Amino acid sequence: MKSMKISLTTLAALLLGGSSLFGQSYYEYKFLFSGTAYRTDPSGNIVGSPITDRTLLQSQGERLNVSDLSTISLVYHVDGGPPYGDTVDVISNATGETLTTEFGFFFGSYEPLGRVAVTNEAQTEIRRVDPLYNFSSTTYTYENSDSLGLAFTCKRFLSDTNGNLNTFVDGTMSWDVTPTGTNNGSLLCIGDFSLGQPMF
Amino acid sequence: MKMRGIFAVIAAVLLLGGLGAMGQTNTEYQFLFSGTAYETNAAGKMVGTPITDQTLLQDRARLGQISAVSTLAIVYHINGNAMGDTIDIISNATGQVLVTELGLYFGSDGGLGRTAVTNAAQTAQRRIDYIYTDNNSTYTFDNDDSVGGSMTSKYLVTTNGMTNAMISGMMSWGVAPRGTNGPILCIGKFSTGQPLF
Repeated sequence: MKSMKISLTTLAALLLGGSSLFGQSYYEYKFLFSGTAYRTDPSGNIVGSPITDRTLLQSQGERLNVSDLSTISLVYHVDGGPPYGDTVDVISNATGETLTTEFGFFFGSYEPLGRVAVTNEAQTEIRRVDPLYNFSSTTYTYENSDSLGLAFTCKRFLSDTNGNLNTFVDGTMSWDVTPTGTNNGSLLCIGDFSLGQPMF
Repeated sequence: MKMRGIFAVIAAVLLLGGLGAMGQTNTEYQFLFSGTAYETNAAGKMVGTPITDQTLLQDRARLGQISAVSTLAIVYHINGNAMGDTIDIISNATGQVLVTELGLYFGSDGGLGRTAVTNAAQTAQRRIDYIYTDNNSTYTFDNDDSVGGSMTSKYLVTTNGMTNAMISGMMSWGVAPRGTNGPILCIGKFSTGQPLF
């Protein structure tokens, strides 16, 4: 019984992590985020500043020397980092090319680490805790080999009347940023995320 | 500047992590939790069941064959062990830790590249703690790696010369399948209540 359940869980993780196997037409969706970045101000108090997906995109745009932000998008990329999991990427709007990865949502259902998602039998709903990874240093990210935060993630898959499989992902996420470069102080970001329109 | 920042973080971790060193008398506070445990039911549907701190406490009492739950408490234990804070089941009479429910570890571990945000007065801190469970119950399982996390806020409040910690946040952790039980994912908000020890 136990091994069967684990096999089912593994199958679900594979299918839900790589939903393109279902014939899904989209695997990149606008990433919508609204939250707060906490830091210690010069007078020594913790202060929170609102941040959104736009804030994150601008920060990566500066690093990539892209001044026209209308040419790039921040997207949730289903199975963007195989075999580890999904990613949040900055992409070219024209080609869909991934220019950089903002976050990796990795190892949330990785059995060698003892982590298992909860998935319904129809494999249309999954809940899990995803450790967050950063791969570049910006105002809001810090390149690091270990996870720097967590996302409490809920994924749902729904077929429309045309037979297209649509992905819905939302949750709460939080990550920290170690001081580096021109960033003098630590930063902790927390907020809610969801997906917008499909892009590619 | 960077080194100064690192030293400030280390100092903050030592002070906020070791409140006892500041003269605070209490290290164990009532742990208040309200959330949902998600699992897949026999019909294959994902269902959420409300859980609270009392759910966790009663489960531990059942496993320990302790019928008088009122003799126990579930507490947020500041510096519960060398790795960080813990959520413990304790004896109300003596404060003795009977079992650890959750470990909140490595949230501001510079060696792992993780940092907290702390105010200059070192009375407020925000950080991400990684949740560890090192034994089996309905809502925990013995695992070497982290199984969830907590988005934690800690404040020290001094009233009439007495300093108390106010800790709150949102936490989520997973429970791997065991026996005939499928996986469970718990998520909810927590805070600290009255100081106990």
